[in-house]
Amino acid sequence: MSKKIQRKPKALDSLRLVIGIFATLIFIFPIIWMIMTGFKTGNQAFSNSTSFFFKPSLENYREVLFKSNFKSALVTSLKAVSLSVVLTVLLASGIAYPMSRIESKGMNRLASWIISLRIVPPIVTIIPLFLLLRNIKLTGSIWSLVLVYTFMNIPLAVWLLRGFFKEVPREIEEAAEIDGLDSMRIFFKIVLPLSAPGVVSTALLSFVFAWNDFLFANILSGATTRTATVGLTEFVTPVGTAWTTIMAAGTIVVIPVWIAALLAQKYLVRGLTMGSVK
Amino acid sequence: MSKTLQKVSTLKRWLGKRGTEGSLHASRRGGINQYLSIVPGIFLLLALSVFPSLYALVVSFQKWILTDPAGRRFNGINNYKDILSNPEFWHTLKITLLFVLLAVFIESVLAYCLALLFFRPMPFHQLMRTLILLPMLTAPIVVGMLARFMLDSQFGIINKLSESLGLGRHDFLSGLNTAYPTIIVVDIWQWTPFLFLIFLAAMQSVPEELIEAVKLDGASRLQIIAHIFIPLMKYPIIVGVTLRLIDSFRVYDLIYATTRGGPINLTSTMSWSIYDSGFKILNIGLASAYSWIFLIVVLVVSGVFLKRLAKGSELE
Repeated sequence: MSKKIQRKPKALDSLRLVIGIFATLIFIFPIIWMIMTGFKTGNQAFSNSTSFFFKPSLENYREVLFKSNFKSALVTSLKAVSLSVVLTVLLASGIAYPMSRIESKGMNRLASWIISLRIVPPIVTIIPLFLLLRNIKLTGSIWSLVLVYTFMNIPLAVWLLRGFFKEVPREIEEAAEIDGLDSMRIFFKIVLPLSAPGVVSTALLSFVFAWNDFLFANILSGATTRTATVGLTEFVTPVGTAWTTIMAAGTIVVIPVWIAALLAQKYLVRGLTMGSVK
Repeated sequence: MSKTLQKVSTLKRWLGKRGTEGSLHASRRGGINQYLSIVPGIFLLLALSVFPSLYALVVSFQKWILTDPAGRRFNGINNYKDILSNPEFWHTLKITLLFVLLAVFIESVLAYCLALLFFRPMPFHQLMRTLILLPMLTAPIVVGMLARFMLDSQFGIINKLSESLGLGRHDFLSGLNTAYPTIIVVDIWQWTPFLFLIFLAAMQSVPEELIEAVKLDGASRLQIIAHIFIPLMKYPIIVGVTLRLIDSFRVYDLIYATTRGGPINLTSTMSWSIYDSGFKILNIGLASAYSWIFLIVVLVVSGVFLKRLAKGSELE
């Protein structure tokens, strides 16, 4: 009897491990394939395309980073996304801080309205936005992307920051208030540093969503302000598709996001569910 | 069993109380100053959401084609009439709803099974968990390009594998019968990890003592899942599924990179059709009307879940 009980979980555990490894392989095989193809020459990729063993070459990365326009697309992405992350954190804190401190019906309604913006598909607003931004001559400028990304990330950031600010003990602020600090100083000198890990994670997640965007960038960016995700699709030409180059470029696009997610890992679940699951 | 269920409800009540503790403190600082910092953020949100939506509503009643020199003129409800009387619209609606419901349903089931699999530690547990998250963290446009590369009918690795397994070659992304299911499978591949992460976190927050207690009561694995996990995870499950529903309506990058709505219009979802009529045919009036119809569809479908969500958060 006792033997049976001991043996059954063991068999089950190894079965679990086998299924677990199999599932992991399904999810990472395409990604491994992308990274590998990025190091292949055209010949290696197409003549014997199932080979796992080959002499890696850096030719694709040289092409992507030095010979094509992709480098400037990366710079554009980096500029637009970083600016929007700074703006997102500033504007969202402005909303989230009072929201975390003042309990009123109006505030709750405002919070619900902000989160409801998350439901609207971007394609619905993009046409009027395009016309609007074109009228004020912002299409083709990096600022149209900065504004749109900030808009896109504020709802998420407000909800996350509100949760993080709420966790700062009220007593510390009350003490500071007695010492005569105004609410602006209290926020920047006390609340912000105390909730720094949360604020940084919010910034990192905003970075991820803006960096991965393609729809807004594809429509709003001009010839000189292509982002990395748009630049990626430009390796597809009527003459032919430079697949190995695209895979190298794709790897470059993806790596900053992986790093950001790894850094924010502790708050990833919270961030992806707008703070509702901790 | 009933004893344990009682424990569950006490636990729920306790969790609920803990959640609202912060709100018992009333604000002491007064004045209009404390609201001032809200203004710039709210202004941006209004300028980029309410204004464009209302603008689109106005334009949706106009005949406005960018290439038409006649310019804009009032058109009544003709744009809406044109869309709703076009069988292509109903085809697109069907395709979109089927895509959203099917993909999200399969993703939920798979994610739940995966979460159960990873609930208890095993060798390389943490590593495998992190690796599974990678698809979700890969830009959808990159996933689309990768899918197109791997599924190519000539040199794609998937076709090579399928051939060596004796399953033959397939035109995955351009075949009449395969394009639509293929898009769904790619979506499932990318987004199952998202729900997996949420479900796993929710599962791990179920108190260990509770599971031990029911086990002592002689509950089977299935009973534990049905009576402990599902009820206690209800809220996170609804949150995750609702977010997935909202997001899968947006599918655009993937279609841009792979099928562009084809073959014929078999993968032309609503997001794609709006893009098509707005930026290729340049019929701004029609695209605006289409946008509003789309918004209503999204609201209706996700509204069902959101209502349950609101109910859930009121209870807790």
